[in-house]
Amino acid sequence: MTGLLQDFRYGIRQLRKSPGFTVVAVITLALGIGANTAIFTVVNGLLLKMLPVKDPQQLVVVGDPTRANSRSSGTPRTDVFSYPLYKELRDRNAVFTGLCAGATDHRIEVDADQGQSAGEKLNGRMVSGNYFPVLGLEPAAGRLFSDADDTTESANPVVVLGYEYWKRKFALSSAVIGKDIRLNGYPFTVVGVAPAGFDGDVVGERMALFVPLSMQPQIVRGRHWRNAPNNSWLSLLGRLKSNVTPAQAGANLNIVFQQAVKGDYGATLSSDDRKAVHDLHISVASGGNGLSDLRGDYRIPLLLLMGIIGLVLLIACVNVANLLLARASSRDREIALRLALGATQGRLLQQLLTESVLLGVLGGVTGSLLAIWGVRLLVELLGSHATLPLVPDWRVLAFTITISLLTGLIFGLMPALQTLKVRVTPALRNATRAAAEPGAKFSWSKGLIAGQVAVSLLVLFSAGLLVRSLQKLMTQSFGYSRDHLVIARLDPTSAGYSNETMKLLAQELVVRLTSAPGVRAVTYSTNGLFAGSESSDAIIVPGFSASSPSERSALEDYVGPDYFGVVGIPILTGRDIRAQDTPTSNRVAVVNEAMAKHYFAGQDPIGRQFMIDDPDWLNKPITIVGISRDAKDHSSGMREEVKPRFYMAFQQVPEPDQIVIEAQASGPPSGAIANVQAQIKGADPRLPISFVEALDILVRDSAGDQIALAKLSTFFAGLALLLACVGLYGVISYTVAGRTREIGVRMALGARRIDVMGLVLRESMLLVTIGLVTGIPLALASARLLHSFLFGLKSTDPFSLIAVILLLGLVAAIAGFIPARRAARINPMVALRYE
Amino acid sequence: MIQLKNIERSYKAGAGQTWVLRRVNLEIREGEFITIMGPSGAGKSSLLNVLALLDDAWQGEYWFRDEAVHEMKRKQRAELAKRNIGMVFQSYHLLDDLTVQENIDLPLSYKDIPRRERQSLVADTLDRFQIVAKKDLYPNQLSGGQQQLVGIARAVIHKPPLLLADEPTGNLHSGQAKEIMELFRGLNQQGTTIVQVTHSETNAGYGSRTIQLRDGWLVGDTANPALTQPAEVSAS
Ligand SMILES: Nc1ncnc2c1ncn2[C@@H]1O[C@H](COP(=O)(O)OP(=O)(O)O)[C@@H](O)[C@H]1O
Ligand SMILES: [Mg+2]
Repeated sequence: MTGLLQDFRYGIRQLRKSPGFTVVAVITLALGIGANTAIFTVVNGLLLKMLPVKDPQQLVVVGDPTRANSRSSGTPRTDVFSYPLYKELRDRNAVFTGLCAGATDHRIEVDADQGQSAGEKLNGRMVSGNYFPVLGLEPAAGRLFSDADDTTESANPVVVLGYEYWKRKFALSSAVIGKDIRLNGYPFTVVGVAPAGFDGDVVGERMALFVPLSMQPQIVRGRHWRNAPNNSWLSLLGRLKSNVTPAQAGANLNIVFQQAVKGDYGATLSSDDRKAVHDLHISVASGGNGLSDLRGDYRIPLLLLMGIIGLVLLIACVNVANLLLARASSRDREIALRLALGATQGRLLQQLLTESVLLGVLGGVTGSLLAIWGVRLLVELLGSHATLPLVPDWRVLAFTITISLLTGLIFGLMPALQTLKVRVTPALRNATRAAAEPGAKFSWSKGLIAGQVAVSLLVLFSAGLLVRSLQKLMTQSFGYSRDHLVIARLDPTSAGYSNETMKLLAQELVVRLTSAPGVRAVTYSTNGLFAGSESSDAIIVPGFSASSPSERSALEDYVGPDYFGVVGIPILTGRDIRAQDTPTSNRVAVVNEAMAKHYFAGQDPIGRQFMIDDPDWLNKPITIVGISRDAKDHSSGMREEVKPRFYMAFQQVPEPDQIVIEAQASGPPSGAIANVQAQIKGADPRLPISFVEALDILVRDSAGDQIALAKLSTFFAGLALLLACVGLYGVISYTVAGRTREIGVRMALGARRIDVMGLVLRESMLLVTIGLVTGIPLALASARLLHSFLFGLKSTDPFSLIAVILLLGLVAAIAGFIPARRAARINPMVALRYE
Repeated sequence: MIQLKNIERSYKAGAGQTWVLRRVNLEIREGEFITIMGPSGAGKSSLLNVLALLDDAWQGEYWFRDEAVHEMKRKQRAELAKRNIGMVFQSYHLLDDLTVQENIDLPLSYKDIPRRERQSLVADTLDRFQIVAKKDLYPNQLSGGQQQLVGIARAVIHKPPLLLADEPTGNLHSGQAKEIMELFRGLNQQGTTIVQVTHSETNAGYGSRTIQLRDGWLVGDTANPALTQPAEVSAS
């Protein structure tokens, strides 16, 4: 490593000597490195970054960390947990120094000025009393919670503010401590502020405040989840005792769980639930990077993108390597001279590599600047409103430095070795001849170009598959027309409505909304279309025997009169749900085709009865009055066969839970949204509205991860294509320059311009063909990784493959055409003059 | 065969022009073996390029067997050259990546000649030049003389009536040069018109006529002893 500083200085001088080369190389590398840094920043923020808490590596998640925002009111679960089950695990385990629980509410209306300001809706986390102690956090002001803050239901009206919210709303003033603020209308006392940098344990969601779990009924009003064993709504984080592994913790927790099922906890469950719970398993995994449901959606897309973008960098490296190779021949004289003067091969290699690493570092610095902007673009394209911790940390820094140095070595090594192959005498004697005949050196470049084409094909094919799959997903038939529907989700329970007043409200809303301008027809339901909630129940169909519990469950919805007419789901036989179906009339249901087929194989289900397998429902048989066409109505079902579903009359069920409005707009749905909103507010200004949105938008949002993946992979495939074509263009141009004399001879011997063009085009198309031939099996093999992402087509989709081959061939032909035309313009007299 | 009238050729040099051929008048008759001589830079190669129709940028009249070349389009000229002219170069200009046989075949590949006929033409030519044994060798496996032999074979394979050679023996020693000149004589005797550029009086001796070039002017012609340098030599 002698003379490194000197090499460095000489390298800088070399780069300054050929600014054109340097600029092109640095931009190419910056694109590659910048894209990689950007994607890595997002990957780091979402997947890798540790929570800013004490010793995060000691934390584990209990259950499924990607289900941070799930809640279920059916059979107890072990991906999210009920409070009674949490207590069992917390109090009886032998592996944690502490196990804490949390659940988020995204619509906490905060009124800090005693009714003066219109309430803001914020994210807040309901947390167990030991939440802050388990995470090992210290307050920024006041105090945090302890077990004394989470005692019995509704007994602890205290709130800890998030630091960012404290800063934004209270300008970091400690005068707020001890003050009362209203959360969803209920007074809470501010006792403290969480530390700076801590946004909660859910990555991507910034918590404005924290309240004790015991206050759940005041935060989610009208609901009493806290002591219900069937309400699973808590995510758990545990801190391991020293020397306990996550696997050991899992083993212990499952024993505790099974004991609890046999003990008092189990006694609170129905016998069915107890049986079902027996088979459940609790998983434990390292949890220092927190919880995230975004992670579930975006983990694989991000990793796929990272692969694609890595390939783009590889292509960029090849381009720079080719530039260096082209330059190598012009440096024969210099190298020969240095060798003649006694430089060793190793010493020269160090010098050449210093130059390329210098280029890599320049590319890395420029790329990092690009990445700042790229990260913003990525997050926007990923379409999430998440507040990810995207500030670059040491990991991002290390990543960028590593890839910069690595790329420098990768694209530098091969040209450097080629450069050093020069022999002393011939180059010194006749340097121009050496430069004019790149010969062997360029077989390397051609190999690289073919490789680039192969890799581009892979990337393009992946993007092509994703785009086509998305297109199929979005344009598939849902079983009804999506064009004119507006969906609104309301939560009357939290505004104090009882089940009976909620039913009346639903009827009033239909009357009001039907008369609203731009609205043609209106209906309502509990779950509806793409509104984000779903229900299912185990059912009993006389004459049907199920082999497993899942065999006898069905999805369900409670719908208002003319639901099928307004939404546009055809009734195939029988009738739909009508106004005549009241609490006093016969209990009826419409079932979809899938349910008719699954439970009544072949027979006509109209007039048949079934029961919901629940103590309250067993003596209340439901009569089937109609069959509706299978409809895709939930994001989770978009890629699957429609599952069995039954629709009961909203007015006939005792607990309809919430209201989802379906309004058919007479024009474009966007025009009706404001009117719908106004009419709902007119019915009850206090009524919490989760959203009013066009169905199409909801559908698109629900495929947000796939849209983002398709867009981004297309963008980067385009970049790969561009870089590969620039590479092809460069190498062919250089080859043409080296073949001037040959082309001159051929023209003097009768070759026409068209012959010369053919000669050059054939050469570039040969490279492209070699690239395609090697690329096709490569693309087909790696497309298998996409398998689970594809809808409606195979990972070997011939249409996509052919389209991508044609595109690549065409663009490459254009890239090859330019130097071919230049070759055809060679003047043979000039070409042959220098004898 | 060829008549040049007032051929002029110049290159842009900075602001002005440098003249490399000045009012060249020359008649080449069928069956002649002409040698062009003159000092380096006199315009010999330039004249040969004009004759070969490699150069397009001259003024004057060029008649080829009563065809007005100066009125032809580039494509027609290329067509004319392809049919009628063969070229031999000082540095042979064989293509390194092609074998002897393939090099010889090159001019044929740019003509619409059936494959069969092409093969037999190549075979005949290899035979005629006695290089059958070398047909699969590459140029860098041959001596200079052998390479030039291949260069000539390539130039005449399509039996052009006119053979142009720019210092064909410039890179060869005298023994090899003699062989090449004997070959030229043979070709000439079989009817090929030849124009060669050379610095060697010995080589010139094989020809039937010698012309002299000085600074672009045609200043001597053994077939026209009356030719004298024009009076109004411009100082350029
Ligand atoms: N492409 C060109 N551009 C500029 N000048 C040229 C070019 N080709 C030839 N010349 C000039 O024309 C003159 C005649 O050249 P050339 O015909 O090659 O001479 P010769 O073959 O007699 O040695 C020389 O002065 C040469 O420098
Ligand atoms: Mg010359």
